[in-house]
Amino acid sequence: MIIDTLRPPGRLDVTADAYKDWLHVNVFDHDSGCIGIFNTSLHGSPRDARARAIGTALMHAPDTGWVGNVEVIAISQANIGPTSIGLEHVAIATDGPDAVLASAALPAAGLEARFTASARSRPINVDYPLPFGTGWISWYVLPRLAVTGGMVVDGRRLDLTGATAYHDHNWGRWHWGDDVGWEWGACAARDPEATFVVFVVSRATDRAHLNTTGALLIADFAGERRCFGGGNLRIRLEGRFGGRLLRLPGALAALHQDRITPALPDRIHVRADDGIDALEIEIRVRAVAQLIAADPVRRGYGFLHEMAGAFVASYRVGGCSRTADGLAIFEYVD
Amino acid sequence: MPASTEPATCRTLAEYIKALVTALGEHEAASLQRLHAIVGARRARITLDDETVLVRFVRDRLVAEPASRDVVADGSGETDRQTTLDLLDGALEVTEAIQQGRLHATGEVEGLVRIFQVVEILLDASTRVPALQQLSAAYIRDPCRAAPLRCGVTRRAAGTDGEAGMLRRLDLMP
Repeated sequence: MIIDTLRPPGRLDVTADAYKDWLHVNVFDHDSGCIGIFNTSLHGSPRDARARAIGTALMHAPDTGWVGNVEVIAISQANIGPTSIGLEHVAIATDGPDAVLASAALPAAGLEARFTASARSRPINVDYPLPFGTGWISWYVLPRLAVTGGMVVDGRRLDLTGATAYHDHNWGRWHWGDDVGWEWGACAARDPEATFVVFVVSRATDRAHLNTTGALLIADFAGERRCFGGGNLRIRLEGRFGGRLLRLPGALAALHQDRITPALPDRIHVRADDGIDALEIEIRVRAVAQLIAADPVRRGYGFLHEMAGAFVASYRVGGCSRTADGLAIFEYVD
Repeated sequence: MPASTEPATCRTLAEYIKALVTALGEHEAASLQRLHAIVGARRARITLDDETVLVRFVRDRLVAEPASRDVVADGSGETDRQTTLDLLDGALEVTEAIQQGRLHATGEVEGLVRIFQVVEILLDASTRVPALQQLSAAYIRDPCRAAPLRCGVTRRAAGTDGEAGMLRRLDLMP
């Protein structure tokens, strides 16, 4: 059994000021088309007064757009446990190896949520430091979870029974503003019984996304897992997103006027084929939130673009060909 | 949305400006030196709702004094509390605030550029200086100022007639 915990730096860790740790949940409510982003994170040494805890709770509804906000407090003000990060308005905790609890209380920003997500797929555990810029990053992922609970989105109550979720825990050492970036995506199929499909696409890049360290695609098909990478996997970013971005926190958005209209795709095309199994996914982006992360100890910023949308996929696994569709999130960080 | 454990207190605009610059100097002296070099001997008129202050450096000390709206300065900025809160909340972009007439910046180009550079220095430093974040939280909770009017609807209702509307308002349309 894997017990995934936060990984705070020890007192003798000379890289403690580059410490990062976060718990992340995406919720995909297929009935309403709503896509949620819940994240609590720690930035900087817990023994440094400048270190911050950041809570993000956002929901995109097709008819009303984004609701929610970002909360920033001192790490010393956050309620941090071995497997939990709680801020005043946003909290996420894991319960054992296969359950995640999240809550958000941002009524003034149009979002309240309280839900539990239970794993419906095997974890992906990358409990060793992957090179990431001048530092490293590690992952623990639950690609698909079933959700119980509810939300209030702009005054409208949503029952999340039937929604699916994605959870990951990342930790490592880097500074925002380093020459790093990544692309990551999760697609949750609408039909968990007939087409149980979840894709996790990840590739670490440099900040300009010119030099990648390789992409990885993990796909679950009704309990069977396939991995694609290297020459078997191709990811293309196409078009240009032309909509208005939600940019948070507001003070950092005001500081970065040059980032109001970044060059982001409006379609992401993923093609994988290892000669036996194959799949093709197209994500169509319908909304983007730009979350600006500031490093608390040195001047530097990271820009996390959360691209919410829908996907269609066709795949051939074990000799059977099928199609799937559902909701997706794609993250472009530079 | 920074939090603070400080009790809510009333401050004037001049007190906020002095507190911002004092906190900057205490925690990032180099940033204050840059700010001082950018401002030099210039004077800025800052108006927030019905408060106007004239801001300048006297030797190494920042002076922010109450002033009338027509006091002569090298540049001036004017806005209101709701616009400030909407900017902090991410509900409004700076360009939208200008286009909608909620944020006015007037003066010679060089003076305006320097005012915005000062704002940038303060915003940038605030990510590393908790005291600046606490001031932001204190301003939001200031009991002598109107309660924040914030909601998700604000974010979506940020419609604007854009640049054309701004040019019409300034009587600059052909």
